[in-house]
Amino acid sequence: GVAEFLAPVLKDSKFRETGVITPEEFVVAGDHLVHHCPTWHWSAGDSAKTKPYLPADKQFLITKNVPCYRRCRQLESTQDEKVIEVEGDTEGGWVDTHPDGTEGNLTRSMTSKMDKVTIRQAATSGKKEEDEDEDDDEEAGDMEDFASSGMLDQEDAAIVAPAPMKSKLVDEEEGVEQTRTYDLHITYDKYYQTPRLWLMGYNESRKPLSVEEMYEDFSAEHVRKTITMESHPHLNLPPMASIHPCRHADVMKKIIQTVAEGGKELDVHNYLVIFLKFVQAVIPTIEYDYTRNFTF
Amino acid sequence: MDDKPGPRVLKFELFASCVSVDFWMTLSKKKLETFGLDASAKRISGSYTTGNSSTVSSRLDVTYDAFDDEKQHSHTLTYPAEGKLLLFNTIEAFRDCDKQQLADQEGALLWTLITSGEALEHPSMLTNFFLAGYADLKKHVYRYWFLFPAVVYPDALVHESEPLEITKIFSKECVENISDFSHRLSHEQNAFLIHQDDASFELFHLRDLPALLSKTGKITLCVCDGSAQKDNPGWPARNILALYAYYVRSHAQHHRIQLVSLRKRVLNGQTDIDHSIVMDLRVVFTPDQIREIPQTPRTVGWERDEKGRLQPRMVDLSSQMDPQKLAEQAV
Repeated sequence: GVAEFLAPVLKDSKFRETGVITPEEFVVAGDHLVHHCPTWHWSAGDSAKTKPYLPADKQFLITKNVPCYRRCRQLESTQDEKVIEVEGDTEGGWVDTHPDGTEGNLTRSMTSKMDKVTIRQAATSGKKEEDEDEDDDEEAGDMEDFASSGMLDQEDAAIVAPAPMKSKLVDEEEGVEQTRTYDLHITYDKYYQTPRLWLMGYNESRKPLSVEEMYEDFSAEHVRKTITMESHPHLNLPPMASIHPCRHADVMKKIIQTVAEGGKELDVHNYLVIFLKFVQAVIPTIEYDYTRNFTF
Repeated sequence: MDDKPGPRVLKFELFASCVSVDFWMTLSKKKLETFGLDASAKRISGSYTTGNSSTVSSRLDVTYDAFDDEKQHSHTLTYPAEGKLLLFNTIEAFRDCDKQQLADQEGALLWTLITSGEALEHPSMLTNFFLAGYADLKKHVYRYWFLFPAVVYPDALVHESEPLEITKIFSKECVENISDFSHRLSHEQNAFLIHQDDASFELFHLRDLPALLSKTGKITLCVCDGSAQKDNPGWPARNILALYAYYVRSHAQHHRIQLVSLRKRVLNGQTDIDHSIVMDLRVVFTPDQIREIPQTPRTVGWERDEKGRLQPRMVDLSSQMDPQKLAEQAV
């Protein structure tokens, strides 16, 4: 937006004092993430959208095909869920992008937030079935004409279909939950001077999910609040789901302070590794984190 | 257990195509601004990953940068796949084109790469794809069909024993050597060789195969194939094994082959290959296939749709592109 366009590029490191980072620090932290967790890689994005304050070939980070085995509403019944791995953090808070001003809301611990993730009403499930039926009808129209004469399906004894994506968990009431996959992008947000996480979901047939469907994979308190639909800074895309970065710097600052109180120093190259651990509170069922656990 | 189990035929896991929304957006833009009515085949590229979670199928990814000629391929866990895009101007033209003929054309190109020896130098050229489709730009509906061409050669590969994890077959030191070697190779080298005899364990480029055939000792073929299945290598292994079979067809002592279906993953910040699978295989030829110049084999590899039918897939992005719906979503 205009605000981002006008915001000056952060030059000097203010990481320790404020939790924000410069583009150079973003690249350092990104290189560190890619080195230690090569499921992530740098991407150049659309050349018409290249940001001059980042290297042309390191505009943003991508990881693809990240499994998401179940919907958030299933979390409540699963007590063994262990998501937050940033130990020693007590204060990291998540809030609305439209805060109501009550300070108490601002500093609830992430862990207790996680405990409180409540069932998101499965109100969409009925609607979903209808949608699927519609798809079928439409598909039946002109796709059947493609049904091939025998020539294509000559015997091929040496083929197996791609493994169906099976959920690790079976929901007793709703049967097997379909495994979805997500592409995650991390961009540098020039206005908030922090990383920003973007999400694109696909269903078990690898078709893009609608926004409503993706809401099932965001923790109930963050749907329509911390999660917003916005334009991707480096790609030509319809508005894409993103975790709003307005509180990232604060959370990071608190983690830095907690680490400092423990007599240690958090180095800026670990920024994204830690960032990925704390955003997990918003997307608890998307299993992207292959980095090692952090202990302070 | 059966007393007389028949030979178990090796099967390969077909790629699952995975096209990101940004590819369709880029495609629409190209069609409008560059291609126009030009329906000739265009070069595109994709990639596949060897770092899959064991529950995610083996995927061939196509993203916004598919049209980018200068693309640098720098990811540790993925390998490039060259492709062709054939975008039809009408759905009828898409429907009526001869799919088997397209497959045979692609198969003939693969066979040339194999028989000329070019694929020994650049094995990743054998992992490619063909994307045929029709884009309804007004409705934001895309119909598409992927072919992952594979030549049916040799007649079969059969398991000689049960597949086992790499750590059960090779020592820790050997596994580390294999891992290091594979990481040092360029992304064009998605396959390589191990030669072992009583005294040595050595790693070689695939191009060294003809030289190794005259030595004594055992040859193992390693392919970074992207599969997540225990019993089955991924699709890239199929054409690589066809290449291997072509070169050993007159060397009966090498008709038994050990295959390492090489898989890489990241766990706790460490990349390892310990979940790779080793298979002891035997190559089975028909008399025709071991001739001086075998016939061009037939070609397979059209992807099936969500319901397992040989039909194109469809993706409808209208809900994401419709200004009305977008306004409702904006908070």
